[in-house]
Amino acid sequence: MSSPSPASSANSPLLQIRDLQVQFRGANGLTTAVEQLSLDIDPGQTLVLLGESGSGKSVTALSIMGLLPPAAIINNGSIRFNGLELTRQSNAQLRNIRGSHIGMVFQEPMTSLNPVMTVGKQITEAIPRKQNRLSKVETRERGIELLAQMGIPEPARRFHEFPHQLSGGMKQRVMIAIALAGEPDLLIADEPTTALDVTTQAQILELLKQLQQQHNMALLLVTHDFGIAAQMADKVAVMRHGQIVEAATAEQFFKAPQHPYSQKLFAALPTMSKRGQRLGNEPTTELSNPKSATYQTQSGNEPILTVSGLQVLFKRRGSLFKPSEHIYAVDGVSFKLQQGETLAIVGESGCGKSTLVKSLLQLIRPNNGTVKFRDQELTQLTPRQLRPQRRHLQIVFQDPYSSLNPRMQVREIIQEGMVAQNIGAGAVERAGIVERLLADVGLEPEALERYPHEFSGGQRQRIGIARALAVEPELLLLDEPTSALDLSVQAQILDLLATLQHQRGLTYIFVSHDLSVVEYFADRVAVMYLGRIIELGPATELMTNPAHPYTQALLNAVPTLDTSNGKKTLAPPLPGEPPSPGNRPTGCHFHPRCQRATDRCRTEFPAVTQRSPLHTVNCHHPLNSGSPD
Amino acid sequence: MITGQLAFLISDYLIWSVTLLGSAWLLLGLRNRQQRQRWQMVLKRPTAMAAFILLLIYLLVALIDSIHYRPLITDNGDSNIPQYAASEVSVLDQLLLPLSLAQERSYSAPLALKAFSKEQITTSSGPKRVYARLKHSGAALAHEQDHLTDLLIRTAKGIGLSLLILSPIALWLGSRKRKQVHPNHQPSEPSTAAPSTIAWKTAALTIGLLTTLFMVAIQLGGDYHLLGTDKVGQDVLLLGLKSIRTGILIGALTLLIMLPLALVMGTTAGYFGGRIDDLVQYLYTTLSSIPGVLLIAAAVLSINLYLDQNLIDVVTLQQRADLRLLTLTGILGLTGWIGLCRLLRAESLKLRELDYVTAARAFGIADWQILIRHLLPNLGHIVLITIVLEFSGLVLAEAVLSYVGVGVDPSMNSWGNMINGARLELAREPVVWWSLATAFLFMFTLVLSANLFADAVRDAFDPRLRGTQ
Repeated sequence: MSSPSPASSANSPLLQIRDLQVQFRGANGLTTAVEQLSLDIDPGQTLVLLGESGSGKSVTALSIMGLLPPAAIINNGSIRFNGLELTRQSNAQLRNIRGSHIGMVFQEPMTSLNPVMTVGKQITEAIPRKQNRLSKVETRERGIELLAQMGIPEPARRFHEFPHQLSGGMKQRVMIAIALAGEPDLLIADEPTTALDVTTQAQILELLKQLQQQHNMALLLVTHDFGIAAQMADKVAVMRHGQIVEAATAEQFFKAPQHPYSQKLFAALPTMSKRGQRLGNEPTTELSNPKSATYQTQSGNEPILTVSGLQVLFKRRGSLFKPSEHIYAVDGVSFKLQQGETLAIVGESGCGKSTLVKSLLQLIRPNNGTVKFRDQELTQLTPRQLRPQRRHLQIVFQDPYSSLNPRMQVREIIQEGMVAQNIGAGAVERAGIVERLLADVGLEPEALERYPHEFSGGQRQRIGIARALAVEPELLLLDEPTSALDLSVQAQILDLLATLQHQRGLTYIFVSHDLSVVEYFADRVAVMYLGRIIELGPATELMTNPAHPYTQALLNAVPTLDTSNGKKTLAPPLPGEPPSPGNRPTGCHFHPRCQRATDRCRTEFPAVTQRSPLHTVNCHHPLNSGSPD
Repeated sequence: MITGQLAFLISDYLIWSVTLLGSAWLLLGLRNRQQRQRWQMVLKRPTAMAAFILLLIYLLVALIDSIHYRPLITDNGDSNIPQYAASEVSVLDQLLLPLSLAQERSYSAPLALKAFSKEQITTSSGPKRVYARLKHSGAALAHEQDHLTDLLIRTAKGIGLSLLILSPIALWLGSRKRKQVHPNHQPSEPSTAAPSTIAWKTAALTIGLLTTLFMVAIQLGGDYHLLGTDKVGQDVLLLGLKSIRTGILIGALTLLIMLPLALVMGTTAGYFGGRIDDLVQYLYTTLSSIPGVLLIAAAVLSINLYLDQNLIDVVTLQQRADLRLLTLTGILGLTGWIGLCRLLRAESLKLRELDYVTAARAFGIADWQILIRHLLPNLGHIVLITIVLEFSGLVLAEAVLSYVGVGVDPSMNSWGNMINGARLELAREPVVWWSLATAFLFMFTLVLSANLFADAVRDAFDPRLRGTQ
C-alpha cells in the first residue's frame, strides 16, 4: 500500500492500518486469521477488500469496529482512525466512534434487524440525540428523512412498519439508513448485496454510490465479487489466508493484475469469451471436443425431454375470513431439450426455478401439463411405475452441506441409488463402479470410508455429483450447483461438469441466478419471471441481443469487469421489487416494472413470438424490433 | 451353597432384555468411528466419567436384585422330591441376608447402640422405662463406653482393607506407566500428554473412593445399623439398596414403552404430514390437556381394582407387586411420550425438506426406507439426550406418585414408599430423619449422576452445541 494519492499526501489518511495481526484462541491453540495487514483509506475513497471465504476479510472489518468475538485477540499492529488509535480504546470510547464516525452494514438483512421493533425505532435508536440535542419529534423527522434518502417509497408509513413487512432489498436499505444515521465518515459494508437478487443488488450499489458522493464518505467494501469491485472501487486489496497479496488502484488491478493468485482468480471467472475453455489450472487448454460457440440445432434427433404447459399450484389454506388462494409457482412452461445440450434456467429468487426442477423430477406432482422423457409421459405414472424411470433423471443440489446425510459414509451415499435402482450385480461390482465414479469426479479412493463433514464444500459437491451419476442418468438437473462455492472452486466444478458431459453425453438443465456462469456454460437460456418462461433462446444470441425488457434489465444489473467504456456507468437499475407469486399482476406479469408497458400489457399475457428459428419471446413490445406500437 | 429354582418375574425378564439390547445397540454403535469419538468426548469430562461409574454400579445392583429364585427348603429332609419356598428371593436378598435378619423392634438412629424410644423393662427394682440395648448393634461390645473407639477402629479397618486391595492394583498400573514412559526417554512429558482422551484419572479416583466406602460400610454395617432402622425395625441401608431396582425399573421400562410410541408417531407425523400429522397432533394435544397426575392416579386405581378381582391365580406377593409395577410403568409410558414426540415431529419436519431426503426420493427409494435410513439416524441424538434426561425425571416421578399413594405396591421397597413412611415421623421430637435422608441420598446420587451424564451426552451429540466450546 504505497501509492498515496496527491490528496492524501497533504493530510493523513482517514483510516490507517499497520501490521495488523488477529488470532483466534481455539482447542488447538492459536490460529491466525489476519496477518501483517496494512491498508489506508482516504476520505471519500472506496477501498474494496476482495477475497474468497475464510481469507480474513470480515475479521479485518470487525476488528476496525472493535466487534471481534471474545475468542479473538489483536496481537500486533495498529488501527488509526483520524489519528486515534482504535486498538487501545475502551469499549465505552469505541461506542462513541461506532455509529457517529464509523458505520457498518452486514450481509444478512434478515437477521440484522430486530423483528419485534418497528423500523423507525431501530433507526432513531442510532441517531445520536445527545450530540444534536434533538427533540423526539425532530428525531422522528430525521428518521423519516433518512428513509426517504434511501429511496424507500412512502417513508412516513414504512417508519411504523416491522421488518417482516419489508422485502430483502428494503431491509438492506433500512440497514444502510441505520448505519448512516450518525453521519459517519467511514462506512464498512460487509458483503452488503450477497443475499440479494441481481436487480436489487444493482439498486443497492447505486444507492451506496450516491450516498458516498453526497456525504463525501469513505467506503470499505468487503466482497468476493469481481464485478462489484470493478464497479465500485477506487482501490482494491486482494486477501488470501489473512494477508493482502495485492493492493493496487482499481485501474491498475483490472488492467493487469500482478500477483499469481489474482491472475488465477481472473482466469477462474466465467465469461462468454471463455466458452469451451477450461477455467481451472490450465486456462488455455481447450477441451478435446470443445462446444461450439454458437449452439447448433440438432433438429433431426428426437428430443430427450419434452415439457408442455407445465403448471404447479400451491394451495394456501384459507381461514374463516379469508378464502383459500392458489399460488402459481410454475405456470404454463413448455420447452424441448436435445440430447447433450445444456439449458440454463435463469431468474430471480421466487420465480419458480426450483419448483420447476422438482416438478420435472415428479418430486412435486404438477397440476397440469406433461413431462415426456423420450417417449415416456411421466406425470400420469403411479409412484411404482415411476420408480424405474427415476434413474434417467437425477439432481445435484445447491447447498453442499444439506445435500449429504451426515450419518452416512461416502460409499453408502453413492451406493444408495444404485441399490434402489438395481444397478450392478452384487456388492463387488457395485464397489468397482463406485470407485471408478469417485476417480471420475476427482476424489481419492480413501474418501469412501469417510463422512461428509470431513470434506470441503467443493469436495462435497463432487460427492453429490457422483451420487447422481451412480444410477447412470441421461439428464442431470443442476440446481444452482456452484452458487454456494468460492470462485476458484466454482471453476473446478464447472470444468468437471463440462468434462463429464463430454465423456458421458449428458444433458444438463442448469438452474442459476448468476448470469456470468450461464453465459459461459449454457447452450440455451430460458428466462423465468413469476413462474413463466418469458424468453428462450441460444445463450450467445440471448445474452448479446435480448428481446424481453426483463432479460435486458437482468443483464444490465450484472456488474461487469468491463470498465473501459467510461468507468462505472451502471445502467439505470430496474425499479421496484419482484412481486410475489401469490399476487401476480394481470396481463404481462412484468408490466409494473416495464418502461415499455402499454394498456395491452396490463390486460393480456403476450403469446410466444418467434424471433429467430431458436429464439422465442413473450412480449408485446420486444426490444430491437421497431418502436412500440 | 444356596440352591433353588430360578423363578424370574416378568420385570426381571424385561430389565435383563433391556440391558442386553441396550448394550448391544451401544456396542454396535461404537463400531462407527464418529460415534466412538462422541462417546470419547462424553467420557473425557471428569464429572461425566464419575457419573457413568455410579450409574453402572446402580445398574449392577439392580441386575443382581433381578435374579429371582425359590430357595430349596431343607428342613424336611425325608422326601426325595425337592421342595421350594413359596416366595421368590433375589440374589441381592441372599447377599444382604445378615441385614434382613438383624431386625430390631422399632426405630433406632444410625450406628446407635440403643433404641430410639424408651421401653418398659422389668428389673430387680421393679418395672423401669429405659432405652433398651439393640439386639443386633454392637453385640460384641463389652462396655458401652467403647462404642466410639469401636466405630473408629472399624472405620480404620475398612480403610486399611480397601488400601490393601487397591495398592497392588495401583502399583501394577504405575509400573506399567513407567515402563511406557522410559523407552521414550521423555521423562519431562508424562504419558497423560499423549492423546489419552478419556478421564481415566477420575475413573480410578471414583473407583478407589467407592471401594473405600464399600469396605467401611461392610465393617460398620456388619455389626451396627449403619443408617439406622425404620418403624418395624428393618435396616434402612437394606431398604435403600433394595429400592434401587424399583427406581431403575421404573426409569428403564417406562422409556421402553415411551420410545417406540414417540418414535413412530413423531417421525411419521413429521415426515408424511397431512392427515397423519393432524391425527397425531390431535392425540397428543388431547392427552396433554389432561392433568398428568390425575390421569395416572385414575388409571392405576382402576387397573389395581381389576387385578385384585381377576388375578386370584397369581400366587405370590412378589408377583402381585411386580404386576402393579408393570402397570405403573405402562401408564407412565403412555402419558410420557408426548414431549419426545413433539421434538421428533418438529425435527422430522425440518429433515424432510433437506436435500439428501429429496435426493433419496429422486432415486425412488420407498418412504419407510427413507424414514429408517435418513431420518432415524439423524434423530439419534434427540432420542439419546431425551432418554438420559427423562430417566431421572421418572425416578423422581415414582417418589412423588408413591407419596401420593398411587405408586408401587406398598409391600415393594421403593424410595417413594420410604419417604411416605418417614413423612409422619418428621413431626417427632427429636426428629426421625434417617429414613428420609437415606432415600434422599440414594435418589439424589442416581438423579444427579443421570443429569450430569445427560449434560455431557447432550454436549457431545447435539449438533447445534458442537463447536461452541
